[in-house]
This record gives sequence, structure tokens and C-alpha cells, in this order.
Amino acid sequence: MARALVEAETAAEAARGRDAQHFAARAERLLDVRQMLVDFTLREPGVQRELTRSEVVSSQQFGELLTWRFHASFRHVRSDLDDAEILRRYGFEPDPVIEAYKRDVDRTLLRQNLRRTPEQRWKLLANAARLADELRRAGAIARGG
Amino acid sequence: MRRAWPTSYAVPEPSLAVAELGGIIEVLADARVELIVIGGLAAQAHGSARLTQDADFIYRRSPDNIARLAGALEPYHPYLRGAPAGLPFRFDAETIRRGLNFTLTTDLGDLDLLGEMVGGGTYEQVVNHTLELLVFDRTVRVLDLPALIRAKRAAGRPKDLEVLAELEALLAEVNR
Repeated sequence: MARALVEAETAAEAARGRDAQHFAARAERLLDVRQMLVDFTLREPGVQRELTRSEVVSSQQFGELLTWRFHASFRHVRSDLDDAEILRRYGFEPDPVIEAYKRDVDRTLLRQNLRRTPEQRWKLLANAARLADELRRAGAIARGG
Repeated sequence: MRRAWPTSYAVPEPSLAVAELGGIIEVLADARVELIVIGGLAAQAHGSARLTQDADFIYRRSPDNIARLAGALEPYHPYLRGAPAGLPFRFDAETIRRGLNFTLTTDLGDLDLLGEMVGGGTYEQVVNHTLELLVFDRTVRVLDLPALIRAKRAAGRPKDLEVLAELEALLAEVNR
């Protein structure tokens, strides 16, 4: 069932003119991870809680994987692919180390910032810096006084 | 009630330059200093969510611009950051001409003024990769996002990896 889904999604990626080979490789890895999670979960009942607590995988992703809702998980794979395509468009080759760091980037904050003008972004930064300044001074007074 | 500064310890450190960003931009733009905002401030302008304490600029090393830069900052007592007090340092045109990159403390806050940036180059080399932004009623040149990524990648510093991850995510977000 899952293999058929990967093949169908890979064909769809190719039809969209995207890097289907890369997508298929990532999707295969997704299946491997899914199988690993199933094995672990059957063997160790607390594994799901432990994995989500340590943020190895979000509870939502975990649920999608275990319940075979692969379409939702594929969206994540596809989003990564789009990043790589965009980087290449600007002449950058995706760097595996940077990609690893990228998983921790909170894109909701970025999207929120992108709705602001550059001046609004700098004003917010200035406000935060003023607060940091005040805290620093208060800390200095507390230590010296 | 406002608490007095205790006398038993040193004078408080100067404010972070980014806290007075509007003032800095006004002073430099009004003096027609040709410079480009780089580093964390440029990243913020492009939508970065990371806080920065640095105000980094590349300045054009033409004689006229060096004179304008020295003149603009003179009233704000520029001094070498981290250097012992009392050194015979003057941030004048001659000093700028003889030097290249300056990390300064001023009455406006700490400023890094670079003649050349790591992984980027000189003003002339990057000026075609900038955006003109209208901020604080002044037009300011800011290094564009791909150039910022290129410079950080070229610099190859481990401390930039998290920053690069965010900048590349931003590049994807604005192009999606």
C-alpha cells in the first residue's frame, strides 16, 4: 500500500516538473522511519511519548506516520524539496549541515516577520534591544549594589 | 522611585547600538555617508527572527566618503571598542584611510564599520547586491538576502550555521 503511494506521489512530482528522484529517495527514507517507529512502538509502549518529548519527531508527524496518513507526511518532504530547488535557483547547493540546523528554524516566526515592513522589523529589534539594555543595567545594579 | 547608581562599581556599559538604530541611521544618512547595512541588522531587515546586538556596516573607501564618515561620527566620540581608555586614538579621515575595519564604541552605541567584509568584499564589490529601503524616513542600502547567504557561506564560520539555516529558510519563504 505504502509503496504504491510512494510511486504515485513520485510520478505526480515528476509531472509537476520537480526533482522526482530526490523526492522518491526521501519518501523511501520516510517509509523506513515509519517501519522503525512501528517496530519500536510495538516493542516499547513508551517510545512514542519519549520520541515526541525529545522532539525527534512531532506528535503530529508521529500520528501521520503510524496511521498511514502519508499524504500529510509527503507535504513535509515536498516542502524540503522546494527549499532545495529555491536554493539551486540562486546558485547554492543545499548543505547537509545547514539543512540539519534548518529543522529547528521556527518558520511561523519568519512568516509573521515577513508580514511586517523592514522598518517595523527594525523597530521591534530596537525595542527588544532597549529591554535587554534595561535588564543588563538592572542586573549590574543588583550585582554591584 | 528611581534607584541611584551605586558608586562602588564602574560606569554602566553603553547602550546597544541597535537600541538607537533610528538615530544612527539618521546621523549617517543625513551626512550622505555611503554605506551598506550587513550582518544581523540586514538579516533582520529581511525578516530574521534572531535578535542581534551588532550594528555592522560596510563603508565606501573613497576620500570624500571617508571624510563624511569621520565628520558624521565625530560629535559622538568614536573610540576603539575594548581598548584601554586614554589612547591617542582619533577616528578621523587619516585614521580611516590608514585602517580598514573598525570596531567602535560611540555615544550612539557600538558600531562595526568595515572597509571589507569576510566572504563579501568591498563596498564596490557588493553594492550591486543591495536593496534600497526606506526606513526612519531615510533611504538605506541593505545587503540583499542571497548576497548575505553567500557571504556567510564563504566565511565558513561554525557560529554562522544557525544563522545560515534561518536565512536559507527565509529565502525559501519569500520565494514560495
